[in-house]
Amino acid sequence: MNGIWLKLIAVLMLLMGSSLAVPSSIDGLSFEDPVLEDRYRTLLESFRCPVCQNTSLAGSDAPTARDLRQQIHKMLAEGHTDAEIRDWISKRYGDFVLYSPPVRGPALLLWLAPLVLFLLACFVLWRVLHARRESA
Amino acid sequence: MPARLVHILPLALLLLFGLVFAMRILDPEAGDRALRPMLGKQIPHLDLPVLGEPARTVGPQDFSGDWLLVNLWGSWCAPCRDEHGELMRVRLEEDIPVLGINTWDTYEAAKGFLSELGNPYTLVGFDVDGVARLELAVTGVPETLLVDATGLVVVHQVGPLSRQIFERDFRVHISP
Repeated sequence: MNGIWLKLIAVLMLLMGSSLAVPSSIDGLSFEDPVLEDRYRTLLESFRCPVCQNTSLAGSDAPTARDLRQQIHKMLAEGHTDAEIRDWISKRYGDFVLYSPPVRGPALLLWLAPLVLFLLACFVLWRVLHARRESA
Repeated sequence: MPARLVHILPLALLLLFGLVFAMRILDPEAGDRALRPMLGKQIPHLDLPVLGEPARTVGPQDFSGDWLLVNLWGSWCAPCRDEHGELMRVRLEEDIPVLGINTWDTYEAAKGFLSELGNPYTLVGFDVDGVARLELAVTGVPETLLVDATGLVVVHQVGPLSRQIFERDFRVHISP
């Protein structure tokens, strides 16, 4: 019994360790300034790699991901804002590469549908309760 | 009658939402379009040194015909070798200029590739530091763009060209 628990703990520790293991730099690109470095990391995690679509730009080995990392690094060094960098990339590669795409076009339906359905459900509930009270 | 409508309305709306979502999910073009980001966009201005004449630059803006093919390739890329025959045919049989953009490559290897297999391009621009492939939202090579006289990209082909693909996707635009 103890053995199983020990193994389970070992596996959990391994899993935690693997998710915490952040490489010190990707492609040798990093910033001395911790604020810039933090923005760089956050930006890399906020884009989908256009080639291997299950990975972010931070985790992809694809040459295009390397290009985009260099571009983001360059734009940060030049003093561009995060919004400008997002615009630059999504203007070329589309909203598709953004992990949080702007709410517009077909995405609007995706956001509004639950709200509309909820309001409708409230309305129907109100009507049903109202009808019951009148018949009682 | 209005009472019955109230009971039907939620179901009708739910079905409508379901239908729209199903159509979006099942539409093969919707997902496909995301992978062809240049489609429907204006081709950007590029100044790339011409392979063989580094003092001169070239870009899509230097072509004034009705149509322009822009083909991105690399000498190391096997699918580029596969599509080479079709590009040679286009060069000989179709009246369309082909701008080659050599990327992720070296100058010498690019020249070697063309002298080995023949040069299907009107001109080749050498993508020095990857500016062209970023501006053209390329995800790999080969990729081919069909650009109309106004600079609009009407076909964004990802992967090697073939006679079949040319006839199916390109011909419909250039000679409808």
